[in-house]
Amino acid sequence: MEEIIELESIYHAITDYVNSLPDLDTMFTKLKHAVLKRVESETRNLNWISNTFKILISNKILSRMGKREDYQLAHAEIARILSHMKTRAQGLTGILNLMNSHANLYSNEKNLLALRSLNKYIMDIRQIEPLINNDLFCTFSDAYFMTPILKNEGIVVLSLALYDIFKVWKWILLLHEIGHIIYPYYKSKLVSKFRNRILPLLNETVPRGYEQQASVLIKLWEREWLEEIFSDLYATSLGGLAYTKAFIIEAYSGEVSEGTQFHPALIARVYSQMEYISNSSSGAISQQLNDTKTAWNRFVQSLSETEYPYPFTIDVLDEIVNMFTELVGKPRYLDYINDITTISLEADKIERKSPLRLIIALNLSSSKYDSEVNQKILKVIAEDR
Amino acid sequence: MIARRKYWEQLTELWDLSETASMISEALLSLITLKAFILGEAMEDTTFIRELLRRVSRCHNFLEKLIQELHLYAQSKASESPLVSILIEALGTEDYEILHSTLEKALSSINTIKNVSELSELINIFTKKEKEIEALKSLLESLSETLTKKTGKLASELFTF
Repeated sequence: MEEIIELESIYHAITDYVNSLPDLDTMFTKLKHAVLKRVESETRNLNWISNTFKILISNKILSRMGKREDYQLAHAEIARILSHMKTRAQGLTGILNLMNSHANLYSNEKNLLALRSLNKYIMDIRQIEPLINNDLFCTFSDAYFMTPILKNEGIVVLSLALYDIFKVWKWILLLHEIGHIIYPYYKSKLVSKFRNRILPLLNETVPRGYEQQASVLIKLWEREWLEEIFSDLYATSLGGLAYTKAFIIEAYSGEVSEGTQFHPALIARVYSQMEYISNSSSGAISQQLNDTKTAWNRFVQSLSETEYPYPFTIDVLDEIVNMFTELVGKPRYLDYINDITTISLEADKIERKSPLRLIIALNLSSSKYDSEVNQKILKVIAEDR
Repeated sequence: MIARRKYWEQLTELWDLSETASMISEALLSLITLKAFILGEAMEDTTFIRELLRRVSRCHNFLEKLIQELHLYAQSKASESPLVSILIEALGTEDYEILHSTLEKALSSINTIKNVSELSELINIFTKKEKEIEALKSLLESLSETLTKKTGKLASELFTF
């Protein structure tokens, strides 16, 4: 079968390419090993398919099979399996692209400083969050995202947007991606609470004449949206208002009240974060919280809280925040917020603090748009032992 | 930039779907091959036969999870999960009784195959329980077709040539 030869050549090409890359840093090397491990397992599977195919087309077995339709079905299944393998091989080339752009970042000293800082930041987050038990490869590419496609090979891939490589305050957004990594640990309990407490609410409050759309939206809550709100609240737990402020700047678009296939409406995401912070607010940030609320309300002034559209009504969002708090607890940033508010961020005198604390402090300060301060913080984080 | 984030979200979804689709197709291919070997009395290569058995048995947990999700959905205790949607599309019905009994029978067949201690027992199973084996084959075939359609559609959106 030509498809088998085609796949073999793709696996060879991926292996050759990965082996040609230098061992730039520990996580890059681990990612290389993970890709190679995956290719090895796909190759083993391909050999099995190839072997089974050979056995099936041998005259001996064919005649024993008796039923011609079984042979045709087996043939069709082999073609399907090969197409699924091809799909995954194409997915792996997405990872190769990331590795390629990561390697390119090494050509420049300024980029290297950012990569070193990012590495320290990840180490800091890992110290705070013991539930992360995979290696994390993190780089800069054309978007913020997380993909667990190589999780079985022991590594999760994360990316920050390249346009924020030197804007260290925006790195707070990485906490949302960490939230996606943590979600599986809480998923079954959260989904169970959702089914007991929110599903009945959603079913009972469907607006008249909206039944058909509602059934689609209800499905999306459990399939995608719950995880997104969880990841936002998780990021808020670690980053507090600093995350919410950066999130609004990054995610704001003209459309705030409609969800998409993967994401709930922006008003739902911002409301639940603000609610989570307000429920256990610290005096240290109360003024900033009020200011952010006022600024956000100005954006969505046409929408009062009683007008939040189905299926993002306030009752639903409040209940989700309650469920999250029951499972994960009060915001963790409360443990360090008092320390953060005293951090000095003068360009000529940046205090040595943990990366997360420095990034939160920068978000809450008026210096966040000062590129010199951002650069100094990058340097302090990179050089801190 | 948002489009690129969407690309990775879709890629992750596609990856998971393709792994499930592979598992179902491999189980079906193994079942057909197993049947040919057993009915053709070609049981000499026990390593190969055991590998076929392993691949059929691998979809046990998947079918079990499907039954649980279907049960919760039928009782309005859960919304329609992606797996339940696939099952409904594959069997072309929303009738709970039909969906449930099809899954139960398939699961029972897998359990029977999975629990053989001697390979020679397989001959009895495939001759005396032919109907059950055919029912399992039919379910896997429907699931494989639906999953392949879904992965194909998603893949064509992502990897357009």
